[in-house]
Formats: sequence, C-alpha cells, structure tokens
Amino acid sequence: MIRLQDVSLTYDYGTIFQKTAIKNVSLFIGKGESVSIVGKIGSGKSTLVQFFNGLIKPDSGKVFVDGADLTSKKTDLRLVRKKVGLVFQYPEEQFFAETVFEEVAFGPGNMGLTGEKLRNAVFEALSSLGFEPNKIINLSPFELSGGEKRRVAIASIIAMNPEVLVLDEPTSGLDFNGRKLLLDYLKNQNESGRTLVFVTHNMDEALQISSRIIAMKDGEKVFDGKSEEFFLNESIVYSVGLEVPFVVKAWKKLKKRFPDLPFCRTPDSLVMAVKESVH
Amino acid sequence: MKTKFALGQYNYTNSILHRLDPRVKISLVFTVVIFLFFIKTISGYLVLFAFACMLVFLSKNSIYAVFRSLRPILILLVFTAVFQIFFTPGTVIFHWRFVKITGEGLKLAAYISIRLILLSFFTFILTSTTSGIELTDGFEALISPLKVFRFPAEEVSLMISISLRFVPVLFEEAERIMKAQISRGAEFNRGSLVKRAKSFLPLLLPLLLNALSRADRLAIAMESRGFVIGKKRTKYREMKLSKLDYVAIITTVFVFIVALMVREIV
Repeated sequence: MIRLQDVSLTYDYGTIFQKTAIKNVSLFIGKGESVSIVGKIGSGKSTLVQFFNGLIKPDSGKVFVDGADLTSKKTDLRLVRKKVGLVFQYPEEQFFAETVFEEVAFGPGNMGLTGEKLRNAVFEALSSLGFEPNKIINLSPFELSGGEKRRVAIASIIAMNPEVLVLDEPTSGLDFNGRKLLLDYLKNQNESGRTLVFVTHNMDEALQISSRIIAMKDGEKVFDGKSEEFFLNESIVYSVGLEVPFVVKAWKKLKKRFPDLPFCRTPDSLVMAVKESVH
Repeated sequence: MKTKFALGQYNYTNSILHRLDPRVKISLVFTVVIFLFFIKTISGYLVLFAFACMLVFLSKNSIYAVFRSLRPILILLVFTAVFQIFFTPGTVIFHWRFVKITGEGLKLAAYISIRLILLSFFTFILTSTTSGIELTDGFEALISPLKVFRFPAEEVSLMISISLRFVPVLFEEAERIMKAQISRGAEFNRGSLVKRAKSFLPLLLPLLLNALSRADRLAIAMESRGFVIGKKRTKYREMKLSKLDYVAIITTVFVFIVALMVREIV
C-alpha cells in the first residue's frame, strides 16, 4: 500500500537552521494494517506522514502508494489524496464553512461528488462518527464542543472514503470521553478493513490501537515491529524518550503472580484476564 | 531541499557592526540614504561603493547573501534603467529606426542604478546586523521625542515588534492550513481567476479566525504579566553609546564629505 524507500529530507539547507528532518527511512505499510508511529516531539513523526499523500517530497529516496511513484511529476496527487486521507493535528482549526454539512462536504466535493452522492457521503461519514446527521448538518461547526469539532473534522476526511486513514495526534486536547469515543471509532474502522496510521506520543493509546509500532528518533526509524515486542523491551522505549504504557507495567508485575497471564492491550482486558487466572 | 520561510536577512553572528547601537545604525543609514541623492559624480559613488563593500566585509556577510538581497529590486532596477536609457532627451549617440539612445540617458541610467544598488546595500547591512527587537527598540528611542506632541511612541513600537514577531508564525500557520486543505482535495492554482480567488477562502478564513483568537490570548497573557498601556516600562537591554558608535558616526560623516567633495574623474 504505502512504501518508503531510503527517504531523506533536510530543512533550511546551508543555513544555521539546517535540520535533518528525516534520515534514510524505509518502511512498508500493508493493506488493512494498523500502525502507530511514535516518538518524542520533533522526532520527525509528523513530517513522515506528510510523505504518505505527497504533501512534501523527499530530497532523496522514493515514495510509493499502490505502486504509484509520488516523487514523479506524472502522478496525479489528487487520486493519491483520495486514497490516503490525512487528518492533521488540531484539524478543527481548518474550519471555514458556515454549516457542518458544507464543512464535511468540502473534501468529497473536491473529489467530484455532487448531489445525492455527496449528501450520502456526508451523512454516512457523520453517522459513522456517532452523530445524528439531520440534527447537526445545519449547525455552525464553530459552535460545537471540542470533541464534536474533532469528530466533524475527522468526518470531513472519512467522507472522501479513503483506503488509508492517517491521523496526526488525533486525541490531543480531548477530554476522557472524547478520547474514548475516538479510539473506539478508530479501532472499529480498522477492524472493518481500513488501513490505519496513528501518530501519537501517548503510549497507552498506541498499544490499544495498533499491533505494529514504528518508533522515530531524530528523524531516523529506530524500531519497526510488533507492539508487544516494543513495549516489553524497556531499554528501547526509554532510549526513544517514551514511557512504557501503564497496562504493560501492571501486566509485568501481575505476571509474577500469574505466570500464564496473556499479554493485554487495555486495562479492561487485563482485569478480565486476572479474574480468569484467579479462578 | 526545503527552505522554511525565513523573514528578514538577520545574520546570526557577532561582528563589529552587530555590536553598534541600533539607534546609531538606524539614523546613519537613514542619513546615508537621503544624502545619496545629493552626490552628483561617479567618483563620489565609487567612494561610497568602496565604503559599502568594507561594511559588508565587517558585517561578516557572505557575498552570496549580498547578491541575494538585491534580487527583490532587480526588476525595478532593470525597468528604471531601460526607461532612462530610451526616453531621456539629449545628444543622440545611437540611432536605429525609432530607438534613440542619448548620452544623458546612459548617464542618468547609470546614476539611478548605482543609487538603487547602494540604497539596497546599506539597508541590507542594517537589517543583517540588527535583530528585529533591536530595530524596534532603536526606532522607539528615536521617535520618543515625539511624545512631547502626544505621539504614542511606545505603543507604535510595540505594534511594530508584535507584527514582526508574528509574521513568521502566520506564514507557518498558513502553510499548515494549506496542507490540510490540500489533503481534503483543495487546489489553489487551478481554474479561472474567480475560481482561484474562491479557492483561497478555505485558507484565509481559518487563518483570520486563528489570528484573532491568538491576539486575544496574547492580550490576556500580556495583561497577566502586568502590561498596562501607557505605563512606563523598563528595558532589559539598555542602549548606551560606546566608543565604537562614535567611531562609526565620525567615519560615516567623513566618508560622506569625501564623496561629496571628490572631483569627477570621467
């Protein structure tokens, strides 16, 4: 689906601000996968995902989406952007429309949908994110609550029906409920077949959402593999500058009491597993 | 190689010119730019040109940066020069059909080009050795005598420094919003003029809204740190004239007298 080959990028070359944002990164993300890209602030994770839909081009290396070479001038990037939906950080800051309908319809409208088809796309996207479309479409997007705004912004990408959904820190600034709603939604989307790329520095969320972790440090890929493997290897986690998720810490301690406790991704499943072990 | 938006030409080093008092630098450049138009001889301009080259050397700027600073005025330069060459009346030295070139025209074109280049050189030297904060501080100090006439000098300089500070932030934000809208299939450079103008709405509107809310937050942050309009503020950087500043003033005045007095060599 998405393939990066030896991708590098440098900002402000030749000035004192010169900074290597991405250094020789190669990776492959297959159809239907759920991948979390983790790293500290400034590790290059947000820059990395902007390669996925051709927003930025590497100085060297190649980027492929479904075999199309994004570094070539012949590739129609609009088709790529329909395939790879990218949700920026704080996406509600891009709102400009008078109504929620117009806001969500902006993407699919740009992709050429009109009339009934456009309406259906908007309604489907909104209801998949837990809204009652008829109640919300005529409201101004600016008068919604923080969590609602975030979900409307994500709906505006979902309405384009992308095969890959890439989200840059989608839960930042949300309260507990907004966070939980969103994470459940994303897990759901992935289970129904959508490829998911999740950028975060919240390790508990990464563990919950993805079976695969890509860790970035100073623009380099330092880990790419199963999330259990990553989080059970404390030295890697700390060297990247991250924290071991609470669930993993608790699981490790409990494992001493219950040697056959299976690995758990959420607090709920951990509690269930412990209950079973006790019986 | 991506280049992030970098406003201004400030060169982050430490040279003799960086250490000069911003008030001195601003007023000297201001005077130089005015008196530039009183010089009537090529040799006078050569003197100034040599002076400018010396200053560039002292400011530790690369030759490349100097030429890059000329780029924005290049079109203006070519346009005025061509205009002067072809449309100045006088003794014709070249004639072909309706095209006439006069000796006076050539001379005038040379003068104007040299003046523009020197103007750009001197302002470049100022902005490459003086940071935005120093510039506004210096500017504030220079216009503060106007307070006698109830001119709000501090407010004006605060306005200037805030705008200077937030221009790069706005540009960064514009880039971010643009990328986000492009991800939603927006296109900014396609279609008719009306369509293009319309396509900027999804960029400009969020930009404006975010700028307003940022201004609001900034005002609250300033007030919570005790800022009151019109109250006297102390400065972290006190501006004091040093020996170096007097040397700079005397040298500049001397060079100018030489440039004004020197005889024509051609």
